[in-house]
Amino acid sequence: MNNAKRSGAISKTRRLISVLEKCNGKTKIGSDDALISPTAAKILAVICIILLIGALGAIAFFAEPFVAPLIPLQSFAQTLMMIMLLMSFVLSVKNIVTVLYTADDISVLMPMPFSVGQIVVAKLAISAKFPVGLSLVLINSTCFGMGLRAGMGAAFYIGTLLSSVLVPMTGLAVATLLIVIVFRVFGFIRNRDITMVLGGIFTLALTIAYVFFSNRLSNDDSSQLTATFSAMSSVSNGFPNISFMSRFMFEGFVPGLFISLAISAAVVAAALLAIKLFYLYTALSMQTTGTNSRAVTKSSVDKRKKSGLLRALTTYESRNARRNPAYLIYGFAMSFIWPLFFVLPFIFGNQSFSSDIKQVHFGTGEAMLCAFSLGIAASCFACGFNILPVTAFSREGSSFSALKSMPIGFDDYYKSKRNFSMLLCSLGSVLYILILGAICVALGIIDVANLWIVLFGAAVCFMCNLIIINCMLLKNSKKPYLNWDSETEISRKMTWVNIAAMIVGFIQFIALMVFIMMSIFSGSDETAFDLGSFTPAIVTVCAVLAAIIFAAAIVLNRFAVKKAGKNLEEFE
Amino acid sequence: MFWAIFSLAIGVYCIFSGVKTLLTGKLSASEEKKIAGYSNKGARSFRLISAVTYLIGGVLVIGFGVLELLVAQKILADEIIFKLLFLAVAILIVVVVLIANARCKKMTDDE
Repeated sequence: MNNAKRSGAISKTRRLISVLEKCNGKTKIGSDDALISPTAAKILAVICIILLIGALGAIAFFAEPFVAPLIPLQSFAQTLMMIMLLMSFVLSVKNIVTVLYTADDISVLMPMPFSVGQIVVAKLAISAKFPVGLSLVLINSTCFGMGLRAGMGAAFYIGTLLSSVLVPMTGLAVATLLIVIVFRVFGFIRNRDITMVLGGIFTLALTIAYVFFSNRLSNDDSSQLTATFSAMSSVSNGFPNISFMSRFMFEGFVPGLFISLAISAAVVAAALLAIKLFYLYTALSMQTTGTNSRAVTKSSVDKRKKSGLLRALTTYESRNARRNPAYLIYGFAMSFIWPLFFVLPFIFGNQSFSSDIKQVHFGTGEAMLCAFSLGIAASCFACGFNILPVTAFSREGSSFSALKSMPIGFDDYYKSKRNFSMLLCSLGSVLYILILGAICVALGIIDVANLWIVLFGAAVCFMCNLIIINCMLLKNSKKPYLNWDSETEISRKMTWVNIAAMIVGFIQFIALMVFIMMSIFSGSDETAFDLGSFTPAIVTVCAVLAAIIFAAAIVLNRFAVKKAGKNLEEFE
Repeated sequence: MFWAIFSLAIGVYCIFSGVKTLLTGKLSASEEKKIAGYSNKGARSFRLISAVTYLIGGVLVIGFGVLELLVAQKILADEIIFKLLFLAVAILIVVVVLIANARCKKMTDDE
C-alpha cells in the first residue's frame, strides 16, 4: 500500500513537471518554417549535444600534454568543479526566483490534489535541468578526455560522474536555501531598487569581510599561471564536498566519497527544510500585484500634464516593467551575480588579502587599462543579464495596438524605453564601478590624484550601456512578439545581443582578472606595478578607444531612435 | 597545427550553418536570391540539400582537422592515403551536390 502511494506520488510529480514545462513556454526547437519536423529537431539537438561532448572531450584529450606540465590534473579537476558549483549557484538564483516566486501558477496549483512538497519538487526539478545538463557536459567531457590521456584509474571516472551530478545539485540547493531565507526575511521584494541597495550592501560586506580574512594558502611554483591555478584549486579546498571527492578520485581515499555525498545530501536537506518552513507564506503573499492604491487628486493629474510626454511615457514604462517578473529576476541577478564577480578576483590571492593589496599600487597606465576593461565588462554583464530592453515592445502585448493608435510620437515612445533601460542597467554597472573605485582609492591601490580614472571607467560603462541597449531595442522594434500567453513566457526571451554581451563581458573580465592577479603575484614589496615607458601609449590607446565608443554610442543612438520609430510605425 | 585549428574552425562553422538552415528553413540572403526563381518544391529541396551538404562537409573538415592533430601529436603516422581519401570524398560530395542542384532548378510544383 505504501509502495503504491509512493509510486503514485512520484508519477504525479512527474506529470506536474511536464505540465509546468508546457505552461512555462513553447518547447519547440526551430521555427515554423523548419525543414524538419519538431521530433527530428529534438533528435538533432540530442545528436549535437553528444557531438559537443565528444568535441570537448577530444579537445581535452589533445590539450592534455600541453596542460599537464603547467597544471596537475587534480588542480584542474578541482578548479573546474568549483567553477561549476559557483556557476550553478548563479544560474539557479534566477531560475529559482522565477519558478518559485514569480510564476503566476501558484493560485492554480494550490487547489489541485498536489501537496506543497510535490509542487516545489516539480518546480525545482525544472530549475535543475540546465545547471545539471551544463555540468554533465563540461565536467564529464573535459575530465574524461584528460583522464584518458593521463591513464587514470576507475576511481577518477566514478568520482567525475558523481561530481557532475552532485556539484550542480549542491549549487542549486545552496541557492534555494539562500533565496527562501532572503525572501522570508525581507518579505515581498518587488522593488528592484531595494534589491539593488541590498545587493550593494552585500557587495561591500563581502569585500570588507574578505579584507579581514587571511587566506593562508601558499604555493612554490615560480610560474605565474601555475601559481594562479594552484591558488584557484586551493580555494576549492574550502568547498568540502569538492575536496573530499578529489581525495577519493586522486588518492583513493574511499571515506572521502561518502563524506562528499553526505555533505551534498545535508545541503539539499537543509534547503528542503527551509522551503518547508518559509516558502509557502512568502509565495502566496506575492500573488497580489496591485499597484499603489492612493487616490488620484486633481493636483497630481495637473502635475502629470505639465511633466511632458517623454516623462509620462518613461513613468508608464517604469511602472509596467516593475510588475513584470523579468524586473525581479534582473534585480536578483544584478544583486547577487555582479557582486560575486567583483569579489572573486580578490579570493584568488595566495597571501593575506590586505597585505597583498597594500603592496600593489597601480600607476596611471595600469589603472586606466583596468578601468577601461572593467567599464566594458560591467556594461556587458549589466545589459546581458537584463532582458527588459530586449522585450521592451513585446511586453506591451495586446496593448500595443491601442498605444499605436494614440497620438504619441514613436520617437518619444522609443526614448522612454531607452531611458528606463539605461537607468536600470546603469544602476547595476556604473554604480558598482564607482563603489569599487572608492574602495581602491581608500585602500591606496589608486592615487587620489587618479580619481578621474574611476570616472573615466564609469563613463565608458555608461556609453557601452547605451550601445547595447539601443541594439536590443532596435532588434525588438523590428518584430515585437505580442502574442504571448503569460508574463513568465516573455520574461524568458533572450537574444543574441544578450548572449554576445555576456560572452564579451566574460572574456573581458577573465582578461582583467589575469592582469590583476599577475600584478598581485609579480609586484614586489613597496614597489608599484608599473608598466613604465608603456604608460603614455596605454593611456593614448585607452583614450582613443573610449572616444570611438563615445562616438559610436552617439551615432547609434540617433540612428536607433529614427529607425526604431519607423519600424514601429510600419509594424502591423 | 595551424591547419588543424583552421579546419576545426571551418568545420564547426559549416555544422552550425547546416543546423541553422534545418531549423529556420532559410539560407543566407544571397542564396535565397539565387533560388527566388525556383518552384516551391525545388527551393525546399535546394535548402535541404544545402543543409545536408553543410553538415557532411563540416564533419569531413573536422575529421581532417582531427587527423592533422593526431599527426602533429605523433599519435598517427603522416600517411598520404588519409588525405587522398578526404579529397576523394570531398570531390564526390561536390559532384553529387552539383547534380542535385541542377535537378532542383528544373523541379516544378506539379511533380
